[in-house]
Amino acid sequence: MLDRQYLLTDDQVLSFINYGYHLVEPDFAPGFNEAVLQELRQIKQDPGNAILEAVPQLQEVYNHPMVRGALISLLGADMTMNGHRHCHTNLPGSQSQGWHQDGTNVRHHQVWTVLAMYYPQDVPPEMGPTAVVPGTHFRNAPTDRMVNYANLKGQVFLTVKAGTVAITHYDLWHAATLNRTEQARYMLKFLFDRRSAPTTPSWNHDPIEGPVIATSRFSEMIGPSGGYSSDYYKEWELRMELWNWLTGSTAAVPPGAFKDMLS
Amino acid sequence: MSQRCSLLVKKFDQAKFDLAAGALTEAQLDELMHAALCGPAQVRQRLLYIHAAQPSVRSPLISSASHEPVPGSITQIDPLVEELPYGCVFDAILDGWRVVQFPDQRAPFEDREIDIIGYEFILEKLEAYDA
Repeated sequence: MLDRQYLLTDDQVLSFINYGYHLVEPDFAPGFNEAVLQELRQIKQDPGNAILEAVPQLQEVYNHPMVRGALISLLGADMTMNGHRHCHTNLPGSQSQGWHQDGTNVRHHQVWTVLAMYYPQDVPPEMGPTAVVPGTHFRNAPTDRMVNYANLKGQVFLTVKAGTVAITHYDLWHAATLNRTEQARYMLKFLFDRRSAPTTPSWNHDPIEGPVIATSRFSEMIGPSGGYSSDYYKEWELRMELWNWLTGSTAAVPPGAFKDMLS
Repeated sequence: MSQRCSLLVKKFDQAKFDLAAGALTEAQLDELMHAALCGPAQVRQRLLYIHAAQPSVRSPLISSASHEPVPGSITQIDPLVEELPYGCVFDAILDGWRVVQFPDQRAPFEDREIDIIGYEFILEKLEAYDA
């Protein structure tokens, strides 16, 4: 049974709803990340889904209570590790990927799967950090239509310290970037799935304060548009819809609901 | 002045500057003669894909991708680039870029869902390159 202190707060869940990602910095034992990195460097052939068998210490990453607490908060207490996982090795001299969403274009405004990306080494800007675009998990964009973007306003590079686990909504736009250093950058991408629709909040929810914080955060300006465009008001409603769903509410968000959030 | 003449004048000015500084080289003179005698440099199309938040040329830029017409050039997401090159399409026009494609405002519209970000303008500059 996980201690509730490791669950997310209302504010953290709302931040995930708006931005589409949450960073966890677990307090691993000294030398843990370095040991994992050493193991990864010994791998001669990409083991694909068998990376967990090749480097068993990785299980400790995803068993860490801070990581489990965040995953349970977003996916429910019965969440489970998906069978697909991969060690992404960004080699020196690489070029950036194009922006993309994983999977096909069957999207929804719920949280059924997240990526949990573990970085066993410090990732400075020169080492090919993962790039994400906050708020884009609400978008349904075929990859072919994204090829003409390069740098996007509001993009965030995950320049993280060793041991960080970046939990992202499955639909968040992301890309690996160019590695200018002489060292390979490793990122372990594990997927976690929700097994049942939420019936009650699975985080440290305050039924009095939570809705107040939610109302104040739905209107945040984030991401590339970052202002008054048609999409901005739609995002308010999509955020509200996701919040309702995560809290277990069956209340629909009617078209034009954003007007009730105007101050 | 044609682009070819403009390029030649630039090279000539550089040669005069280097001569005054005592840095003019034989290779530079050979290059200048080659440029003057062997016809125009190649005029190539530089392309700039810009996405603006709205379809107006005054709307703020949200993305920019330049495609330079030189062998080996690449266009990619770069963590070391902190700013987009222009504030809006109009600023790019003032800098000499010419819009060759405007966004289509008749695109399918959905008042609930959202998909790609912004409106795409394609701009070009024709410039002379050493062949």
